[in-house]
Amino acid sequence: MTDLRQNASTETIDSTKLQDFDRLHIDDVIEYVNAGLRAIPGPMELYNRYLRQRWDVNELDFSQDAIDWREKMTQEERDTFLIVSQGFHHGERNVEAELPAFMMGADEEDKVFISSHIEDEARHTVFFDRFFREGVQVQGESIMDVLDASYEFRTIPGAGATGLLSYVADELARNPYDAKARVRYATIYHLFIEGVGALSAMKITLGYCRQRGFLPGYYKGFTATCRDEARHVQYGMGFLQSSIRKDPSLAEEIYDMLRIILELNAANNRQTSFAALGLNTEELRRFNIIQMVRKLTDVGIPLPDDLKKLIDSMFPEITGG
Amino acid sequence: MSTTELFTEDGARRVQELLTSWPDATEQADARKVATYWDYFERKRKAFDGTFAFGVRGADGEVPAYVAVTFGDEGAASVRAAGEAEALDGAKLAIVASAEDWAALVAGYDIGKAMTYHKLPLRVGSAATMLRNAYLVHELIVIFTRVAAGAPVAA
Repeated sequence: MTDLRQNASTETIDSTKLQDFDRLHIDDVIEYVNAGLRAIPGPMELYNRYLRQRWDVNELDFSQDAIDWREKMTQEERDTFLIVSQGFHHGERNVEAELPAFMMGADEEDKVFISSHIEDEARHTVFFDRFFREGVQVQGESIMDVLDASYEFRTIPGAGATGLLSYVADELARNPYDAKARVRYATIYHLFIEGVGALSAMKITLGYCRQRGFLPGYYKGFTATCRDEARHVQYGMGFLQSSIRKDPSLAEEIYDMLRIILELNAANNRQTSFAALGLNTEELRRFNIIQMVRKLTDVGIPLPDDLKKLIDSMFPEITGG
Repeated sequence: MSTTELFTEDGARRVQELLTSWPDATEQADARKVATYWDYFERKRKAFDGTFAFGVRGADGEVPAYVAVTFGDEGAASVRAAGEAEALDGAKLAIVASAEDWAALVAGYDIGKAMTYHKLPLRVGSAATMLRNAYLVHELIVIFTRVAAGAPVAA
């Protein structure tokens, strides 16, 4: 991680190969997620981008990560890092498992793209499985063993947003063409989990890796993951945008789901400190709010006053997928 | 008390007693559950006007047994064992799990994981109602597991 360029162009990020991801700055990749929202690509364009950008999780090398983890990071840094990365580990798995419900009622072009999205999530699950096994040295015979082990680092009670996605997916699977249920799904997943929470987890852990020069395998793989998330967020915001254009009354479904999620978010307001990873909690909170407002602006709906107040008081949620 | 006994009048009575003074000292000491979490629990308990039904599936072909928790009057709850028709009649939310999954929860399997992995599916109610009351439901299930595990309650 010696040649970090800032202000990398969209074209540079578009075409970066896995071995060169350590040369990208995470803030540029986060901006790349949002830049694509100005003219949202269609599902086949996103699918073709997936074919060009797909990377091989087995090419990553976590041997230096294991040394950094064991010998260079402090206990406080490790503890904070685990709180954040376990959320993403489970988020990836949960989305991999719940996306088929969203795919069932989608247009055929959309199904093609969503199939690539599911593969992305499966690959990200394997990425975190490898990081926890080889970097953190978590033991386990199966993927579920490692998921169970990383769950122990969870600091909030209950299922959380990606866990509760199971209920939204169940409802959608029972009636896959229900436009309201599809919008509710895209709101909790594409908008909130992926478009807001995931970017925070990326900023926290990748910012730390960048500043300290630690965990190169994680940095490469998770930065590549962030680029994948750009396709997912852009697809999801495009879906919500076109749904609202077809039927403006569906905005109420977005508002209602956001009120529910933000009420759950407020219930777990534990003021987690990310200082050990070099990030100020208030800075991260503002980052979250900006991401949320940008996504709603891109969808093209105004913010009711009550929702604006809820968003203004939201705190960083450790999620992803 | 076995998992099967939980879904009886005696189990319902014990759930009601524990719920009346919830959270108890053990739960209040859980560092994951911060003050805002308990504020949410209290707010939802007082605001919810209707019935949550929790059921256990029997062997193939058997009708599940239920305990129904009805809230009203600023959070006061009445809890009763009920057959399926009675439990589901007017229930805003009903969750039915297998006896094996209830037993795992009683043995300490994480409720959040069980929700995530579709082991506590909705029989009645919308996903929005479930999410809108997620931590209230979570705490009710904690109470059920504590009763089944033999938590001491007033006679």
